[in-house]
Amino acid sequence: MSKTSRFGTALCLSAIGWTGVAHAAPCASLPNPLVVSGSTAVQPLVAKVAPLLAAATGADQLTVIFKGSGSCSGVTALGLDTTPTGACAPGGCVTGNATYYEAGTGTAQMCELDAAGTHIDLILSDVYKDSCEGVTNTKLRNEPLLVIPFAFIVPKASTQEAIDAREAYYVFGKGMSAGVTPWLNEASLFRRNNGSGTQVTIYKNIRIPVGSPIGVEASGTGDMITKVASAANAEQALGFAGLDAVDSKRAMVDILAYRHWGQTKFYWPDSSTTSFDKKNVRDGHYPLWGYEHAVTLVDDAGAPIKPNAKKFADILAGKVALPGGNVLLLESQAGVVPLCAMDVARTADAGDLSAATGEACGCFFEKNAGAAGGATTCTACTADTMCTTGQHCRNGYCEAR
Amino acid sequence: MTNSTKITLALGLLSILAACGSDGDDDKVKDAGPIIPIIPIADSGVPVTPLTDSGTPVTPTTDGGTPVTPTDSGAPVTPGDCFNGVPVKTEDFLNRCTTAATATKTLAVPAALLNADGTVKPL
Repeated sequence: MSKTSRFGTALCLSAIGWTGVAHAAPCASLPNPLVVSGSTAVQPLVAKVAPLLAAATGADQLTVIFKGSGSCSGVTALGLDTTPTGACAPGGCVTGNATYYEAGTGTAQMCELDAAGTHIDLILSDVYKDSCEGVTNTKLRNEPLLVIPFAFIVPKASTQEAIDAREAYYVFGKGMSAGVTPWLNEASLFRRNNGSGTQVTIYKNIRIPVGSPIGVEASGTGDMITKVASAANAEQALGFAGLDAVDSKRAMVDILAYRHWGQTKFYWPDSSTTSFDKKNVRDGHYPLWGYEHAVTLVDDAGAPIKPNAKKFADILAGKVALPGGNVLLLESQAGVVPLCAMDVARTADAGDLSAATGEACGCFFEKNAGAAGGATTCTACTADTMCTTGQHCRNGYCEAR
Repeated sequence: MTNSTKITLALGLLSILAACGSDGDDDKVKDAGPIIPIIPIADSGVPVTPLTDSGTPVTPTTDGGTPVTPTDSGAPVTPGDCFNGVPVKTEDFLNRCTTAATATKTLAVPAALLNADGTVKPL
């Protein structure tokens, strides 16, 4: 093709609007958009809830636009948004493409954020905002929504079944020079970064600096699972990720049992390697978990600046009904744990455990845990009178509290 | 012995017996009856102080008795054991007895990296 011909072809393609790159629709053009950023660990749950909100009508309709960034990276950006209703402050907005989920089908689609920057309405964070370094904005509000468990993972071909906190401390804190077998190859150790809530949670629990550089960085939860599953030397490979993502990838990776500091035995997050009941997370035997928080901007009176952000947070927390769905059921199926299904609580990342209070839903959770559902030994009921003294009928089952 | 002599002796004996039952001797007979030992009976009853000491111990984690408060309930945590009481501390929750499956493995940290009590050294 001559230069003249190439110029002519380019001119014709330009004339019909073809530039060689497919442009997504503007996110701002979608119905009632809500820009959510932060943790990629919780994205599987967002993918289940968002299509129902997109399909809702009237004031209930929301288009959740998800821009994953890592928990602390998101909290930092929201903290820099000192002009939430005006022009973007430096570092306080997001740009590029984001994901939204179609009503009905739930198919993930891409949309394009404003080139000048789009304000974030809500951050989903795996950690308390105070665990994120350098965040000084006093207008950020932090509200626990649910519990997200984390786990050390290995490829299916690995023979490893368990890891002790002291082993993890040296593997990710000192690297191959520590000599902890079989994790002796730093090219087969996978981590996130210090903006990741997953890494902050894991590293705080194993008591190493959240910025420890040992291992190969994965860009997000999905990338972490892929990297671990496809590691060249399976026996030496080790990573960590949120269980809501791992539970649906158990054909690719194995979850390691974990023994915490001062603990006498190793426990899996579930009561067995094949169940999804998160029994050991819920009763305090398995401490690798954190609250999924909604972090929002509030005004001087403490009221949320973005009402739809509060609405979405309240739906995930079970305080407001999910149009067209049952959020308690979706969370039980998605590998996260509703607050009411926990028998233990804590007030800081990797903090001390105490007994949980409030109305319980552990029986309902056990019955519905996992994509295929679970089982419970609880008594089914429709009223308190069908339960033994002191129990309450909640969500169809007799609960102790 | 004549009959008159017998009668005289009998009368004499009766006289002696009658003299023995005179007024002053009656009071002496009553005082000599069995004396109820008041103090010894009190001392031989169930001791009061020893009962307190032999009752349920109140510091069970050290003396093995029945727990009386949540903070000291259940068996103390020892390696290989599990906590069977009402959990209060984080270690109680972590080591609470359970039927859930557990894994086993030998610690892979080189001994040189651990202190004598099994704790880690600074990185």
